[in-house]
Amino acid sequence: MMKALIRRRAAWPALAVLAVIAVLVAFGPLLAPHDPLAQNPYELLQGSSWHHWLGTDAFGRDVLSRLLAGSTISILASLLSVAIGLVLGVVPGLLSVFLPRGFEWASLRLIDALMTLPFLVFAIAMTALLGNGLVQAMFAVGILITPAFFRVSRAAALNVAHTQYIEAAQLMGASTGFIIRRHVVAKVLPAIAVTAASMTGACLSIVASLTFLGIGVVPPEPTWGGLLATDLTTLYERPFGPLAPGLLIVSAVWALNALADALRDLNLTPKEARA
Amino acid sequence: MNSPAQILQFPRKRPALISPQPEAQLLAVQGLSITCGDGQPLVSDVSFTVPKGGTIGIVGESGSGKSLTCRAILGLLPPGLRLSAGAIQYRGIELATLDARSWRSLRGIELSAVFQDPASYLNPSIRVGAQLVEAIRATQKLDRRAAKERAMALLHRVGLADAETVFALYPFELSGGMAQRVLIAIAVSAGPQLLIADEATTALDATVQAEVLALLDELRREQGLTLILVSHDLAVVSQVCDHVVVMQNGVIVEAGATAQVLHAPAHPYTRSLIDSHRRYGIENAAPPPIPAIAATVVRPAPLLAIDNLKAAYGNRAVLQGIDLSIEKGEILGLIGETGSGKTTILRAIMGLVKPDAGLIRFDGQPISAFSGAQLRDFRRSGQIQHAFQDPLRSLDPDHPVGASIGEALDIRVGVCVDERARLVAQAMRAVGLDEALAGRLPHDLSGGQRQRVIIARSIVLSPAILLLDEPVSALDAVNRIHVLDLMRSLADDHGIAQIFISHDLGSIAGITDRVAVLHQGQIVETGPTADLIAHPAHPYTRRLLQSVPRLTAAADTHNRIGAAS
Repeated sequence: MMKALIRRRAAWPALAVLAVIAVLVAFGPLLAPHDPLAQNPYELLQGSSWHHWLGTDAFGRDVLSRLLAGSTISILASLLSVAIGLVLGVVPGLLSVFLPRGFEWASLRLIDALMTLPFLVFAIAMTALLGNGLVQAMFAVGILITPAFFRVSRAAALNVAHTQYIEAAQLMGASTGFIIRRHVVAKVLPAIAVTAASMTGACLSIVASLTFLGIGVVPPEPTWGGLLATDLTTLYERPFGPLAPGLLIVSAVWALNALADALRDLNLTPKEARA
Repeated sequence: MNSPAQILQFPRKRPALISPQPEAQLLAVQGLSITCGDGQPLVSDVSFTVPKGGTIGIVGESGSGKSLTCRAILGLLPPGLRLSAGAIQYRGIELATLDARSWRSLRGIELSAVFQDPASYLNPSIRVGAQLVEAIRATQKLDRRAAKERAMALLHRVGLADAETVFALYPFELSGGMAQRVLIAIAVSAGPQLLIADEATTALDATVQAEVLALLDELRREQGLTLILVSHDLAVVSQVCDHVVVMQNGVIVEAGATAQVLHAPAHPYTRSLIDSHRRYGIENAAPPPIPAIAATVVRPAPLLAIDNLKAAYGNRAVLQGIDLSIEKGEILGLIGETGSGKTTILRAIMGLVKPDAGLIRFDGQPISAFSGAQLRDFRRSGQIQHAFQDPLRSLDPDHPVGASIGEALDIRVGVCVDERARLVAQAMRAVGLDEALAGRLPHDLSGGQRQRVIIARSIVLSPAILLLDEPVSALDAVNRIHVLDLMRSLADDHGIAQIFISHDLGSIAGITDRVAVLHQGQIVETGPTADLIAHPAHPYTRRLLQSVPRLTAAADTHNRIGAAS
């Protein structure tokens, strides 16, 4: 799939942006020119300078360093949510097609119920219940995106569930697990990849929203959303301050959505034509 | 109600561009070539003529260009294809260069057609009658009442006696044969000169096929219709047509009077078509004798015994007390119309249909009573295997065929890698597949190869019984012979018993040792194949056998048509 994706020109800008972000995630804290937490009372709210490329915040901390150091946690947090949603959604989604009716009914009702919950309110309630922290918040987000994965994987599995090759496997005495591993996973993977990419983008903006609201990450830990929030409070002193974290968030979300689009286009191309 | 003769006289719009004087040749196709967008030729230099009132058959496999030729005559080439050379003269009009406007006054009025899969040509949400009236009013100036009257007359004419009822039915309520009759009614509603029937009877049961062919022949004689009959089955064509055109790979390999082509085929391809019938055809039902189980020897207990099997889908009883048994190395044929319960018997043996009553025993074990882990264990033992009708759908498109063949070995625990490779290679050799093909995907294989893959998959665990549902119906003549030969050798050399379902009685006659005839969920007759075909006892069997198109009947048919016209 990766090779086919690279062959598609339309996917290049998205891949390029994602590559840069991947570098930020891996090496961001190391690239930071200053300690992101070090306060300097003599250099408060400075504009861009040779020393501080993006200036300093109200505590005299270097904004560029905070942005770089915050990449890892912002991206990893959204990946964590996606991972939780993936596991909690895909496994029951596939099983709901192959296990007896009772399981199907129960899982469908549970997913319907989850879909009615409002995102931010649920996340706030969860952190109130479990204590404020990024993992708790991301767990809440992960649960909330579960229906997307459940429905996508179930729909894809339904497409193949009644094919003759699966019936043939059943007639050979294959177990449900064997059938899912052998015949179903490869068929649903493309659809799940699309969902995962678009959900990562969505989670990134949710993480930003939550940290903007002060949920999830405890100060002084830097995150993109948190930086955006504090930069907004000092808008008079540093009018261009919110631009840098805002652009990062927007470009990452755009790139992930573009990736999802490209993946979807790949799936739409018929197999025979691709071969 | 109008008599058939009056129907013919009904006023209709006649295109002005047709010259009134009669032509000797109604249709003349000259050097017709059709190419793909990229210039690849699909049909090359096809020429034939159809005399007025004549019948001509075009025979060939799928991809031979026979359907494309017909579509070109009708001006209905699929997008992307074009007529690169040649002329199609119909009563002095050049069809190849006709514009869309002129076509509208010809197609459906002068030239008409019926195709395979009739139901797909009807709108599922509109009643049959309304569609027929619509077709009539599109070509003739009639008011609603007159059009309806004519529709009724046409339904009567095509053999739908209860026209009133059929008129109010939806297409899905029609059987395949009824739907094809309705389409024929639509096709002849404007009293066309030329009717093209493209595989119009292919999907129908033998008895229905015979009836529809007879109807076409009647219409031809009655209305002076000229008929082009396209089929992959030489026997079907030879029944009705006085001339035959044999096509292969887009070119005509042989053409001539039916009797001449049948008795003295010049081209090797035509000979192979005829051989296919000689070898596995109803004309020559002389299967090798059952390996002599002498009457004096105590007969062994049957391998599979079905005892008073009953099954129903909802309220509809499908099987009403089936008794059947099969012995080691025996090939048992099941024949009967669609809906007679053939496939249900196989599904019951596979455990996919729970019988309401009765018992299926394999080697003494009551397999129809198995469930859960017991059923799974029995399935894993691979004693009873099956081969589906459509190989492309029953193979995972993403898996190399080698993986599909070995799938049963992966399900069974404890088959080591070497053993697995050995068994897969052995199965592939047994069905005559090159082992190098194991890495290919199903899409890359030909239809014949895919059918072999299916059979290889079903024999990889050395089964005792193989269930075959129409294993050769999708194959062309040459591959059909090969696969049937293969099935025979699996029975003779490996002792694999087989239950063989086919609506093609020719295949059944050629390969099976014993035949059971199913009619409405009951076995009406069973016996050794040659005996049963030579002396059918039950009236239904007789009807079934009479409806099979026979090559040898062609000369008589030819004379009959010659005398009639």
